[in-house]
Amino acid sequence: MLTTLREQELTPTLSLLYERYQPVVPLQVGQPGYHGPHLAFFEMNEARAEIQRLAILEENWDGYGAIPIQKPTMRNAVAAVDQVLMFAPAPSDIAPNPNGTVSLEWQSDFGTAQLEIGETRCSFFMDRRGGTSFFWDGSASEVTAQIGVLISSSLFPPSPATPATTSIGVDV
Amino acid sequence: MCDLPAEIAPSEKIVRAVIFPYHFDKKKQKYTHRAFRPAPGTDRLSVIRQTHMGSDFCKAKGREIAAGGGENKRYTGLAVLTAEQIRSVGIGLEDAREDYCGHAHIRFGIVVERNEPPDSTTNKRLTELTQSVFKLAVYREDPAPDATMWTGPEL
Repeated sequence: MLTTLREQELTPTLSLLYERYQPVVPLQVGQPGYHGPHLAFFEMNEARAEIQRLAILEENWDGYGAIPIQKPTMRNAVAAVDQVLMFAPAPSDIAPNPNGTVSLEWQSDFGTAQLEIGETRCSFFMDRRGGTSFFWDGSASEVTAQIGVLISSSLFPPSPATPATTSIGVDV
Repeated sequence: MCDLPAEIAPSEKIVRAVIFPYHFDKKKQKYTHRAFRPAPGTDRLSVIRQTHMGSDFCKAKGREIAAGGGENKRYTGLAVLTAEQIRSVGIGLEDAREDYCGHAHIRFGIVVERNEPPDSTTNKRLTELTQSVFKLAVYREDPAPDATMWTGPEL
């Protein structure tokens, strides 16, 4: 039997052999942070779980007088993750702040971004290396997917498409 | 009675006790600028005047800080920098002996409201300041965090 793997145009199409000896399944990659429905769902769940784990933080959780993360802040952070991670990759760090807010941070060779979520307000900034900064302030319950698109396109842009064809033949 | 000079000299070494896991990046397991976020409702960061109090005192305070409040945290080491370095990034440093002798506050000039983030431009400025302090500080991981005395390199 001859099994052939083919790669054509590495972006925006990825080929994934999802099961041994099964046909090659092409997956369309819409955004650089988008790893397909299953991986995006997995990352989103991980991020949600990480935020929910912050619920155990008690008064003075850092020893320096930090305050607990309140339930509305947690709900806002989970809702923000649901929106933003539809397009952006998982944050490099999800961290509680001593003043009771939650920060999501992204870092790449292209710059950094930080989204901080509180009980009623939210603030976002992004610094592109050698470029301009972007700022946004709004209601903590109204973080939109556009923030994810912005992070994805600015910090995780697709590499230039390189037409390539690779054929691998395997005799089994 | 505290007989330290109230004025903090430029050459004085200032220490911040580092606490795991809250001062660490979860994925990389490295301490980060988060060790320098001000206390809620203030612009103040709690530090110790190591030059006057010595490394053993700083370590004892670090262990005391880690033992307070919620569980699941531990003291891991001391971040050290001079008063001159702190002031070089445009932030204040003042004695805070009302809490205990040898205590001091770094003053960022940006008050962080409880339960709400600063607005985005202020937040970026605060992050730049905490990053600057983080980069200037030398982190000395404690080789024996459970021991009473500081046994690591000279601070």
